Amino acid sequence: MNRGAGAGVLLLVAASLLGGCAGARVQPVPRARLQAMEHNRRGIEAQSRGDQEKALAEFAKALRLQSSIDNTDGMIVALVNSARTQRLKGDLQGARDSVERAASLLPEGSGLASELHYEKAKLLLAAGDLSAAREWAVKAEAAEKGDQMGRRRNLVAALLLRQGASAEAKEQAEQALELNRKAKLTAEEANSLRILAEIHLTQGSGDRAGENYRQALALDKELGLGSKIATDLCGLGAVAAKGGDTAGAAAWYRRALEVSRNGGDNASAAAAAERLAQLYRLQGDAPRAQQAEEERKKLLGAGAAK
Amino acid sequence: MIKVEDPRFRNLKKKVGFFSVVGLAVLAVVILLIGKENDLFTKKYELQFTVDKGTGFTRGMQVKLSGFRIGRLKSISLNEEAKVDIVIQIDQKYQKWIRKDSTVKLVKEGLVGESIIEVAVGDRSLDALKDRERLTYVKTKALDELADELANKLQPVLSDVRGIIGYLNDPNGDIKQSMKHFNLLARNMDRTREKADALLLQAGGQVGAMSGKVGSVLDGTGDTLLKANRSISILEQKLPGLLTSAESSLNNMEKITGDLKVAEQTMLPKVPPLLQKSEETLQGTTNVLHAVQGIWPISSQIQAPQEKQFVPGDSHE
Repeated sequence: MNRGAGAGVLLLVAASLLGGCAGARVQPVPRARLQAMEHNRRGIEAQSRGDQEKALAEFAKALRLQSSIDNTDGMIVALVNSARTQRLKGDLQGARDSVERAASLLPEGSGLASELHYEKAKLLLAAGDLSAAREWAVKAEAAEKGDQMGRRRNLVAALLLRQGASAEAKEQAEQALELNRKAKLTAEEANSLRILAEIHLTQGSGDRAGENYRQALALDKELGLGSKIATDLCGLGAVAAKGGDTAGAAAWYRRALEVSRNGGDNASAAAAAERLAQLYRLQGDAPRAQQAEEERKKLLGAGAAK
Repeated sequence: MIKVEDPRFRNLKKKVGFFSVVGLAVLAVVILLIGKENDLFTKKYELQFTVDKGTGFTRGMQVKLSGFRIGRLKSISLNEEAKVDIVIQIDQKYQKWIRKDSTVKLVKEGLVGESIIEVAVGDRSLDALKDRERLTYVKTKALDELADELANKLQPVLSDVRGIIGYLNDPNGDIKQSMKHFNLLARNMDRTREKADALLLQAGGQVGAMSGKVGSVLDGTGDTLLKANRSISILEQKLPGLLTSAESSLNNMEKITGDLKVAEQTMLPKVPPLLQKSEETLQGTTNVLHAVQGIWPISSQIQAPQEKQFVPGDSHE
């Protein structure tokens, strides 16, 4: 390299270094807001660990801090997170209060509307009000401006399927699948595939249902989502049973039972054991049916003891 | 004779002259600007000071006063005493700020910035330093020295914590002794209760026997008196033991109270200074961290906190 080129390179390096120094500094955020964000982050972390009490305490702190500086968006975020945690904990009344409070704060055209409507739909679904849940799920879909459209559409599809509108549900689930693939939302992509599999199963198209369940299973395994893996395995069991392959179905349910039991989900494990007992009875294998039945009772007992 | 002249060469001399003048003028302006930038045309004077080590000093490094560059380091040389003589060149116009009591020190601009020589403004009532006069050098602490100082500050805190743990674990210490006394008291209480139970049972038996023989009381007052005498003698035998146990329990209680008082007197005064030290250390660490976070390129690596973060809302759950 000649001297001129060397000097040029040096000049370029110096300029890029100085460019870094001259770069715009991050706008300072008020202390209370920073603390609130930190509590919100800790709450999300606690929720992911399954520590719902700690999560709720952190969201309450975040809400208090955001209220102290009248930051409406921050308050809505804290309330939606509280509502979601309360719902997952089974406290539907608490979740309803949080959602209603967040809704009263929501300004028109807010970017948070979709997440809030979505949570309201999930809450109504948990309460068993399918038509109201669908109404809010559609509102969430309409308000979505980001890359969560696939997730929103999945919920609409699931609700349609539960209401028996499988043709509409299929259309929604197929669109959701495309959107989730595009947005690289792998867990939601698996959800879309599972919904499609259920639809195919109800329509009597076992092969396609099996294929969709297998695809969902592969994605859920990739993500290590135990409860969903068990659901996929049960789905494959249902497909095999519908096709008359009771031995194959029993094998799938046995796998689902093991996944649920080792994941600590005794209720799902007991449900798989019950189905397993039914299949053994169909096969005429009374001892194994009896064994599965005892296993189910044991699991239910362990669940109740917990 | 026909003279053919190319119109482009008309007034050629004038044009060449004009461009030469403009070129020279630009050159003069550039030289002037560069000279001004490098203080070539500024009147200067020199000051000197001596340091133990020349580490960190380089020829040409900036000399600053109140954050403004006022000169440069001119020369560094080792003197006969193996110390380092440093001469700095200062712009004459700043001479009025540098007085007899002005000091000079080597500092860094930020944590990873370059080293500069910083001159402190002197007392206005004193005379300004003249050419070749000496400045007083003030030694500054390097990063490793600061770290050592921090470690020295932390050491007493840690040794206090160690002391408290040792105090709590000491088998002959107040806490362990108090626990021992508590155990003893509990054991004595059990024994006392057992004795009291036995006594009550015996007394109950005697009362039963006495009531059963109400009919024969009139017949054998002597027998009854004899039995009553026996009961009283049993009571007399048992009572001293009971009283001794109760007394020893009370003694143990007194001892425990005394131990607790001693423990309180020893431990309580240590707590506030310990807390104060810990708080100061934490504050210092936080300040250093904040300062480091603000420095480029570290600051560019720190992500701005996100406000709109949600608990993942899975559509399947």
